[in-house]
Parts: sequence; C-alpha cells; structure tokens
Amino acid sequence: MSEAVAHPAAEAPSGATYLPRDATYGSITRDIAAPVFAPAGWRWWTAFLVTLALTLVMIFAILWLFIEGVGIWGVNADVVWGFAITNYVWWIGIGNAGTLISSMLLLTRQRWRASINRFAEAMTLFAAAIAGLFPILHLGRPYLFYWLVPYPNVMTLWPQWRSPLVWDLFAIASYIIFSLLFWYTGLIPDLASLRDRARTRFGQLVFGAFALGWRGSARQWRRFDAFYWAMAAMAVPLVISLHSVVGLDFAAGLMPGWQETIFPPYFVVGAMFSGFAMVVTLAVPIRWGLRLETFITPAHFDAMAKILLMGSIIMGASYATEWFLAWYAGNVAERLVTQFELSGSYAPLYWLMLLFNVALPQLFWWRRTRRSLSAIFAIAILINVGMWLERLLIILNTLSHAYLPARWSDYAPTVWDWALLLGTLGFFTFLFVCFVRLVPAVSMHEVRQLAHAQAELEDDDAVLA
Amino acid sequence: MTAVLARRRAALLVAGTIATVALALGAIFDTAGAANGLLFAFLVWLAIPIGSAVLMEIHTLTGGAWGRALRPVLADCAATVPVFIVPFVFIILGARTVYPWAADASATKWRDVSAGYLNVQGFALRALVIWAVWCLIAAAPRPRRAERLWAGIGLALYGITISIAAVDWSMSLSPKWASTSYAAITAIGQITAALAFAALLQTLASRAETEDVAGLILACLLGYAYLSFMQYLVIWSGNLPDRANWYVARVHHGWALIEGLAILAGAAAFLILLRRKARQSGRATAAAAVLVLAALLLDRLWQTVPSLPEARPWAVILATVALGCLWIGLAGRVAWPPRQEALGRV
Repeated sequence: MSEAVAHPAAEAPSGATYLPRDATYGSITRDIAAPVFAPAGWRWWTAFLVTLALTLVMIFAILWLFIEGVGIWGVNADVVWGFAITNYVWWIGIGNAGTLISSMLLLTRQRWRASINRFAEAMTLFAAAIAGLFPILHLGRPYLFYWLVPYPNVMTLWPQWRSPLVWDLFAIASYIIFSLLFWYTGLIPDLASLRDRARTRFGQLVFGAFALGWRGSARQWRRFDAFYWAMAAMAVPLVISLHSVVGLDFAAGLMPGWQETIFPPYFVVGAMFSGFAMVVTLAVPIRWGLRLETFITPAHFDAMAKILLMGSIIMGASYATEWFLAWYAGNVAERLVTQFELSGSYAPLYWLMLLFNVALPQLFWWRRTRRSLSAIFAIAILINVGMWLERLLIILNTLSHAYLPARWSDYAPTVWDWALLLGTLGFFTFLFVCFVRLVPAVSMHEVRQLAHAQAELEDDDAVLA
Repeated sequence: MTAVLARRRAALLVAGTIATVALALGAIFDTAGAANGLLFAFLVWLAIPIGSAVLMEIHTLTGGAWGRALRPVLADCAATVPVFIVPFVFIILGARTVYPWAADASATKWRDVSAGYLNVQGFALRALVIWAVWCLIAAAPRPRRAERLWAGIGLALYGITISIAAVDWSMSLSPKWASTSYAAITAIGQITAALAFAALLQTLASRAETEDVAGLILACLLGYAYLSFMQYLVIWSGNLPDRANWYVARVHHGWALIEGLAILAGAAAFLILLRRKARQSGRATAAAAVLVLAALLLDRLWQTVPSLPEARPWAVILATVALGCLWIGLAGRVAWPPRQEALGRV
C-alpha cells in the first residue's frame, strides 16, 4: 500500500510507460534543451515565415476594422454576434486545457502530464491573449472598452455589476495574469538549466536573469513545490469560474436556447474538450519537429484520447438534455429554436458539428484508434472544427430565430471575418513557433522527477524479484 | 466506526422494522402522506448505493489509493442497489398521489409531453430500463477481462440513465419546471453522498490515504455547490416566472431556513477540509463527512418536499428512518466487519 503512495508514477493503471527505461537526468536535459541551442532548421524557418505572413493578415484585418468599423463583418441588426464572439469563446476554450492539465493532473498525481504541460500552458497563454482581443474588437467603439473597468473617474460611470460582461473582464484579466505566472513559475528550474548550458555570454545573462538565481538547493525545491502546488490548487477554481462566466454571457441573456442552467458547467467541459483536442493537435507536430518522440509517447496520446472520449460523451449528453428539456418544458420560442437547430438554415453545419464532437470521438473506445497517431491527430483536428462550429451555432441559431419572427434572418460571414479567424490562427502558431525556440517545450525538471520515480519503482521490483 | 455499526446492526434492524410498521399503519389513514414521505426517503438513501457503484467505476478507470482504501465499503453499498426496487414499487403504486402529472394530464406544460412522456406507463417502462442498467452496473458480476472497458461503458450508461431518472423521479414533481443542469446536480450529489458515507465507515490506514479521500470529498462538495449555485444564478438572473417559481416556493414557509442550514453545514465541512492537517486526520475527515451528509440531506429536503404538498412531517421522518435503518442493517449483513482480504493490505 505504501508503495503506491510513495510512487505516484505507478498509478498509471495500464502500466503504460511514459519514458524510456534508459533515460537519465543527463540525457533528458540534453534531448529537451537541444532545440533551444541548435540552429533552426528549414522546418522551423518555413513555419516561421508562413505564420508571420498570416500574422500580418491579422494585423491588417484589425487595422481595417478600426478604420471602417464592424460593418465590414457579416453581423447584422439581428445576428449581432458573429465570428468575433465565436472566436472569443473558441480561443478561450483552447486556453483552458493548459491550466487544466497543469493543475488538475498535478493535483490528481497524473505524472504523465510532465511531457505535455509546458507547451499546453504556453498554448493557454497565447490562446487566452488572443481570446481577450475579440470582445474588444467586436465593440462598435473599441477605444472605449476601458469603460468596463471601475476606474476612478469624473463621469460617474460605474459598470453594471450584475452583468456577466463585466465579470468577463475580470475573469479574462485574472486568467491571463495567472496563466503567465503559473507558466513562468514552472519554467524557473528549467531556465536555470538553460543558463548553465548556454554557451554564449548573452544566453547566460538572459536565461540567468529569468532564472531568478535558481540554484536547485533543497530549500529552494521545498519552497518551489509548496508554491507550485498552491498555485495549482488556485488554478482549478479560477479556470472553472472563467469558463462559467463565458457560459453566463449567454445564459444571463433571456434569449431562447441560451437561458440554460447547464451553460456554465457545459462551457467548462466544452473548453476542456476543445483544449485537449488542441493539445493533441499541437503535440503531434511538436513531437515531430523537435524530435521529442522519447518524451511524448503513444501512452500520452492514449491517455489524452480517453479524456477526449469522456468529453465527447458529456457533450453529447448535454446536447440531448437541451433538446429534450426544450420539448419537455420549454416555451414556444425554445421549442422552435431547437427545431431550427436540427432542421433550419444551419442544420447541415449542426449535424456536422454533432458528427465531429460526438460521433467520431466514439472511435476512441477502441485501443487501436487511441494508439494510431494519424487517427488521433485527425480526430483532434475535427474536434477543434466541431467545437468552433458549436460556438458559432450557439450564437447563430438563437439570434437568427429569436422571439420575434419578424426578426428572423440568416447570417453570412464576409471575407474580413475569415481573414481575422485565419490571421489569429496564424498568430497563435507564430507565437508557438517562437516559443519552442526560446524555452524548452517540455518541462525538463518534471520529466527528471518522473525518471526518478520510475527508477525507484524498478529498484523496488528488482529487490522483490 | 464500522465496529460500532456492526454491534448496532440488530438495533438498526429493529428500529427500521418498527418505523416501517408505523409507516404502514400511517398509510392506512393517509396513503398519500406515506407515499410522499417514502419518495423523499427513497431519493435520500438511494444516492449512496448508486453513487458507490459510480465511484467504483471511476476508480477502475483512474486507479488511486483512495479507491483501494474505500473499496470494501463501496462494494457493499453498491451491492444493495437492487434492494431499492422494493420502495420504488410502492412509489409507482402510489404515483397518482405523488406526481401531479400522474393524476392530471394537464399538469404538464404541453399536451404532447403528457401523451408521449410524462404518464404512468412511460414512467414505469423507463424505470424498468433504469433499474436493469443500475443492477447491471452495481451488482452484476463482471468478467475480469477488459475491466476498464466495462467501467467506461458503465459510466456512460450511468450518465444516460441518471439524466432520465433525475427528470422522472424528482424534477417532474414540478412538471412545468425544467433545469438543464438538474441531472448533473443529482449525479454529483449521489457521488458526494457515497464518498462521504464510505469515508465515514472505512477506517483509513495512513495519513496519505486520508488526505486523498478528504481531498476528493472537498472537490465533490465544491462541485455540488458550484452546480447548485450556477443553476440559481442563471434562474435568478433571467427572472422568468416559469423558472423562478421553483425557487420562490423554496424561500417561503421557513424553507429558506432549511437551505440556510444546508449551506452552513456545507461551509463548515469546507472550512474543515481546507486545512491540510485536518485532511490528514481521520477524525476531522469523519466530522467533515458527517457535515457533508447533513448538508446533502437538508438540501434534498429543500429540493423535494416543497413539491410534495401531501407530504407530512411524520411520514417524512418515519420513512427516512425506516429505509435508512433497514438499508444500513441489511448492507451490514454482507459487509461489516470489513472483509480483510478486500482491503488489499494483508
């Protein structure tokens, strides 16, 4: 009994290996730190230039928006939320998995997180920062967004505290600040390793400054662990409150199909679902590009596929609950919206969404699918698409088919909607491409801990044998 | 704790029998009152066995010291799921006095809902499926092979069946009211109750084990409070008459006081479990578990009884005592004292 407590790594119930048996502290550090010091290859430069071009598209789309106003988008007087809010919810959802992987998996002692938590946290940070842009962009007068802030002022402006839109501001701002701190805290020991390995004076100075004088003494580790655990424990309520507020942005409106009590938790699960899908989507190219096959193993993809499977079942149950209860005790408008979802203007997209989010992930019941890298990569991308469609359709179905039949109208995006979506995707990838060259994409010190736990376990086995 | 219960088993069975006889006598004079009380007791106690079954499935999937520690009690509780078919049969027999839609087809919001869903035949048919699935999940022997696949299927099936059971058995007491998170609240309530109950009965071997179990209770408690509060917040914010009605009925006639007590008990448990020292202490964890169970009981009372106009205090108390004592006494026959080999540490 005490054995399992002492070696949480042994908790992996399948006995799956998340590390090669011959991994040593030295080999781990060398392999993970290599991409930071090695010269960039053609793969990296291609990715850098392509994503840089897309980032320019984003900047241009935003500039044109500021010059011309939201009229360049497909939104109209009825469907007032279009791609912008869809993108906001989608990006903030993706921004969830990093903190979730880091905190929940840490608290539940799922040590396999060590290989994926670093880049998942970076993903969180970039995605949350991009998400934060959209609510501001979609304002007709974006330069007045600071009116949401309760700043001391002479106009006696005071935000409406009962509005989730105000809570949103606080939720996003605290989330971004927290994600940055959490990510940076986990990075400190690795920055010190990089400082010690840097061969240039400049590298030593920069990594040294950011490592905050980390020496890896027992006392420092003790403080570090206590602090990191406390942050992880704070992260869970934070991440849940953030996505609940996003859900409340809809649920607090009185529109048919939005006034759902399940929206706050359902947005949390949806965010976790799309976030994990994005982690898988990123893990595959990172593993290939940085040659990290040793550290991101099929066992990791297997574990993430199971989480995706669970997410898809909960999503499916939530959709079914919404349809059923709209019929069971909804008012006329709610029944009509549900009918419209399943058979109205956007029905093909809705069925496609159900296929991607609910039906396809059921393939993960089979171990063969979970172990096939191409299958899990393809399904993860489709889940990302499905979750984007879901957020789009939550907005479109309700706003296109609300209470007043006279105001039923369809929505069609313009080229600027697409440009901004594509541009932010490019910008996100651009940040990621820079990230993998600047700091280790996998947490070295946590992988070393994993190796330590694994070695101790094997020693025990040897003694028993 | 287990030893105490083992010694008291006879007393529990006697008390349960007396309460049952008293309830049966009461039913002669006030059938509706007895049936309403029985529904409440059924909803309260059922949570623990089915929640135990779900926890075992979760543990099969995820592993963890907490599950190995609690498994003996969880297994014994889960094995008693079929016992609850007995009170349920009485509830179906008395459905007309319990569920408004059973006596009057116009009690639902829509005619097609009464015709196609909320009627006694449909209710019984769905219950048959739910019980079949639950007996399968909780009490059926399982092949050792592909254990985790079965656990996954079991959890998915539970998710579907609890969504139906929560609507049919308790939400439909107010047939015009619906909340999409109601089933989720019911499910996490069942899991929390089972966890607290098992933590109370199982003596935990080490500090690390206790801390794991206490941490899980804390997480479940927070999950329950979160879902319940979000349901309230959305309905409060919307303030639409047909949704807010449910809460309006639950602030008058002293009901707010009951929920206030539930919140206090939950908050006290939260404050205890917040401290790491307390999470490592068996005593403190047991105290928190008692508070959690009290909070869940009061919350269930607050959720259910305002929708049961025929419920009488004597019936509610007698039925709760009867079902509780008989169930714990019977479960004890199988279980207590704990089987040593099941503990996995001898």
